Amino acid sequence: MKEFLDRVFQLESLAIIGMEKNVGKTTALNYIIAGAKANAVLGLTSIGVDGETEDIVTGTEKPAIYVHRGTLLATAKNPLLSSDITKEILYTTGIQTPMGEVVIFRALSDGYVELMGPSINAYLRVVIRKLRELGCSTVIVDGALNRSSSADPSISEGVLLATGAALSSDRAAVVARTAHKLRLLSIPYETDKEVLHLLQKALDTSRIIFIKASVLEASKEPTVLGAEVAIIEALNNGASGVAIKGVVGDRLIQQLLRQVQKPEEKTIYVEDGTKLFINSENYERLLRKGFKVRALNPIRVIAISVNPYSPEGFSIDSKRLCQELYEETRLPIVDVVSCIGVGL
Amino acid sequence: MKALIGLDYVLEQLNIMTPYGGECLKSLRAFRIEEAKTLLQVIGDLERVIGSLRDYALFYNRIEREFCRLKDIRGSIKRCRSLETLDEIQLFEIKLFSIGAQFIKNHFEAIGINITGVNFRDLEPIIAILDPEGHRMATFSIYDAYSQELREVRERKRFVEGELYRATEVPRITELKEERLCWVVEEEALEKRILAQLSSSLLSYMEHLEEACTSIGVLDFTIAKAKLAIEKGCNKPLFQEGFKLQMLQGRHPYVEELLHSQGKVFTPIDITLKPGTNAITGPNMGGKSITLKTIALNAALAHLGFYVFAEALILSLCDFQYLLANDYEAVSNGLSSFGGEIIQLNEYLEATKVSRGLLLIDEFARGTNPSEGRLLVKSLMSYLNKKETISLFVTHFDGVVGAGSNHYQVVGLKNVDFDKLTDTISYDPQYGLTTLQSLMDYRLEAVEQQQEVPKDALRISALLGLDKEVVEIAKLYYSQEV
Repeated sequence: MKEFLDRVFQLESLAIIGMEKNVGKTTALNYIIAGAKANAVLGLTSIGVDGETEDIVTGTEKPAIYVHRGTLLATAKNPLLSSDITKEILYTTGIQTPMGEVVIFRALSDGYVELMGPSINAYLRVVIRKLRELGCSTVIVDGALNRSSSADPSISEGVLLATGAALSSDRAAVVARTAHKLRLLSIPYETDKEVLHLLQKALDTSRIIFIKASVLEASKEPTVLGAEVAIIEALNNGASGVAIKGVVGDRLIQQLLRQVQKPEEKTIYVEDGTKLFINSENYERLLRKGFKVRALNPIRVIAISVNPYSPEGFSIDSKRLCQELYEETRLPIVDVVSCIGVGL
Repeated sequence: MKALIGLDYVLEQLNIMTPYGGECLKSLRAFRIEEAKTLLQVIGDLERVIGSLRDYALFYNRIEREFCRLKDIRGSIKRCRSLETLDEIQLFEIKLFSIGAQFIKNHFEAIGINITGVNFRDLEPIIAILDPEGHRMATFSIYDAYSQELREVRERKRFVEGELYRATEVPRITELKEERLCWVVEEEALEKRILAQLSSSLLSYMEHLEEACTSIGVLDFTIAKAKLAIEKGCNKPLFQEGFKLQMLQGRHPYVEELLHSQGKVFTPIDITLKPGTNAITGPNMGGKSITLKTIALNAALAHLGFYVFAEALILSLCDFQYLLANDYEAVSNGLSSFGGEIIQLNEYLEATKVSRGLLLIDEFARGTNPSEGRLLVKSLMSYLNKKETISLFVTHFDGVVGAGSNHYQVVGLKNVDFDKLTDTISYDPQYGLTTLQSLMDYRLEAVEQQQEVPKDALRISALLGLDKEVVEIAKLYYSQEV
């Protein structure tokens, strides 16, 4: 398990994202915090939840984390003031959340705190940079439920994917779903720097870009939803690929599968693997038909953490789960509660 | 009005850095005659800042860097004044503000100029309250130094936390957590008491903070005005008694910028206006409306305490500046443009009865029939000529400018040989427009004797490619009438 922690603390930033609720994200976070070396300054924040309804749902669910003296934390004013840590206020960010402005403070004692960071990626990036400026060697971002955007490579250098029995009571199903998610997150990325630069620049101003022989053409469609017909038309009329800003879901993929001719010549670009919400059947068919799916930014999942207990009370044999996940993904798998580590 | 004359455009260019400077901008209004002294002070302040900007560039840079860091603490001041207890973050912001304001104060004093409304008081006492351990750090904590009791409670809490860190057995951990909780509760109670004490000891310094906010606002705003004046080559307006308005080489920054982006040059305007009626006549597209806006903008800027876009602007302070232009259709509630104009005009005429001002009138009555319109303009001119207010009419009605009025004419196309020209132009309107703009002499010249309005409309129409047949027919009519 030491190898796992070493791997984490080599990173400038790590995002922890969960496949679902109750997959032990916070447990993994607490484990990492506890394992931090005495002289390393750890920075912690989270990608916040928008809207109050979600706050009510997760606010009660979300256990506070226990941090050590010396840690730097970026969280909203309300949870900050109700934390039992002795605090030194370092910086007010001006970033507002429903729970107040995001403030950075240093823990002068150990104690509990609830993390509620900015809910927008751009702001999260600002907060992480500030935490680093203030001396953090590693910044850990607690990702939000069903929101894997904090895995965005421009935000976090590495990603820890949390999974577990909450997904299913069937061990094989947990392995399959986790492996599929991992596959989406770590799709191949464009390595040609020039192509990358051009596409990224084009996506700054337009949500859909068609790649034609030697030009990039911006689509007039304002969103991907509803743009299916335009995309298919372009691909069937000379475009060799399409770059999409934002989420790509099953609906679009099914239509592409049905209607696009010469799929083996077509490439679909997405910003990164977190934007893909495609089930494994569709993804499999996409590849079989010859479509290429490429990310503009690579995501590096450094390990998978496992919680073998489900909230309904049953549990899965953790050793076997870890082993099978490892065989399927070839990534380090950890169960921090049972101190199991495979492939470290 | 602000948008119409281009004032909004100028104000948008101000690089204001603090919320307090933003407040100055928001409450900006024209000075009136009885406030002459204050206006002169404000312009004098601006002059001093402009004069010291270069020699003290380093100091100004540091002040501006500090401006960028300042947060808005007015909410906290209000809370403190209404005897609420401030929380740690509010105290943190007050501390940072005080350190920043103190820094600005020291640098401002080193520059050694006076600005009305910039009166920094010493904020060290506030900093001392919020920095009991004297670290002079830009952070805040409820420091141990505030209370021996707090120090002891925290030491105990930390001790338990250390034990907790090393404990491995569940019953022991539970026991330690319980114990820690006791200390947490005590710590919180003590912290709360200290926050209340700090809030009440800061209360007597709130006036200092408010003055600092105001001072920073005025300083920020004045520096922004000064930098804009330097960057745009603006000059100090000169206020003189003996009511008149003289503008030399006046420019309109928005139009100038627009022309510049097209590779063209703005022709600066010289004009002298007297109390009573003044008039500008001249061909269409001769820049008359721009002239009005240039005068309106610069007069407005001078009355707002800004430098002006002219080599010189000599004027007397007045109580109002109005521009009546045919842009009121949107607000005219079912009135025609002419109706809207009349209603607006009436309001302005009322003002001329109680005070003096500047009234700029662009093509009055252009929406009604020309023979009546001509008479209306003439009547209005005659009426306003007896007033102390400076009225300036732009018109192309014939023979309306009465003797004794101050009359300017756009030089226009007077010196162009049209016979030579029309052959060379094609019927491409864009080409015609460009040619027209290059030929047009936008300067104004004083008209000594009553003259006819130049008949350039036909030439301009021809230049812009009006159908040849129409032009020919027009020529025929012209020869009969003119």
